[in-house]
Amino acid sequence: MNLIPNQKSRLNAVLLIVSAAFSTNSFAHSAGATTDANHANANATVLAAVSCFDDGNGEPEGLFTQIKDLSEPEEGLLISIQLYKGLKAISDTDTISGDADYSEGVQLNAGPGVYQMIVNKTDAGARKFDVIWHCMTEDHTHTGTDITLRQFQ
Amino acid sequence: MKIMQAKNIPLSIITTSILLASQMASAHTRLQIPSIDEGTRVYNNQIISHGCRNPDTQAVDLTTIATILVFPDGVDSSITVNEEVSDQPLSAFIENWGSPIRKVQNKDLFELEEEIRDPLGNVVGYWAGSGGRQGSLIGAVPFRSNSFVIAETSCAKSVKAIVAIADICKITNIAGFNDADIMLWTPAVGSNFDGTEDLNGYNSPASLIINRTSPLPESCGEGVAVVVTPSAAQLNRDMPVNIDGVQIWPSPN
Repeated sequence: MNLIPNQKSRLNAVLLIVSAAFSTNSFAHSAGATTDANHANANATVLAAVSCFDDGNGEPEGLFTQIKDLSEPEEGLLISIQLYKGLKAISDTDTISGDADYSEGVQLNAGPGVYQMIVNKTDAGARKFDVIWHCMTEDHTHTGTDITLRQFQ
Repeated sequence: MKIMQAKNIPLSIITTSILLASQMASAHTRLQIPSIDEGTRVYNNQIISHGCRNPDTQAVDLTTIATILVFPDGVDSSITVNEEVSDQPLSAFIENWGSPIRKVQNKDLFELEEEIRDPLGNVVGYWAGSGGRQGSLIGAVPFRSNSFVIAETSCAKSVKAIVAIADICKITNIAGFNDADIMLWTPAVGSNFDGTEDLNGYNSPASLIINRTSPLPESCGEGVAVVVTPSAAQLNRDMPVNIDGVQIWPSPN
């Protein structure tokens, strides 16, 4: 007996579909979504926990990240990303909205463990963005990287 | 050299032995690797050792046509510390719980499969179905557990995640759950998927233990054993199987 009695249609959607749609599984260690989709929350914040570990490629030295603002430019509205672990933090901003380039990229070197990754912006207004994140060894080899989304606004 | 020959052993004894051996080999659906170290990503299998119970023969050899596996999401999960209920959040013990597993694609057993996600999109389980595990054979459903980090400042020496599993042989509604149609390996937490005490495997869920590898703080002594169990609300949300927006299991009526 089949699970689907009368059809063989293929599944095209995940079981639980969320409007936030910060899909962390489209590509390896990159994801995108739209923050403050209602254009009303200057304090909208995205929070994720990124785990860096040795997956056989070496012990992680730190977490690298870049962000790209995919929305059209709006005066006074920029998007930024911060990394935080223990007593260390770093930030990066895409200073030109809507172009093809990511921000310059930053790496926080705090070894293996869990990094907090925060995305926020400077004013109310929807920002469609894309983030890249990779845990890197001392010799710049990609190593174990897992992510869990904590908050999406 | 003299070779021992089986032909002198009555066939009835051989048949009985095989049947008895198969019954003895039967076991609850469990994880192939039930215990892992923190900081490691592990490729694992859900092992389905038997099917549902044939009402005519009582053998547990009815074909499993689907399976659902759900980990606690850690949001409203219950926590015990050394078997005592704790009001501490899971984050006090595991720094990065939230997306505990990923499904490894494999169509050896089931034709369809998909990950189950929480409202934020984190993967908390999967379902697989259509086709099915032949009743007399063992089935393995592959998945991967992500790398867990036990909080260094905590006294947790291990964190055990209670895993809810349902092996389906026939699609019924919740009221129709019986050993011929489903094998429930779920915690009895008051969800629609507890089953009843007379069902096989009642309150006998699977589990995955994450073992600490970092040193315990000196003040912790031998450390504590933490157990995290999914809530009834989470299981009610995550266990049902939906395909193309239609709930397939349990059947609504």
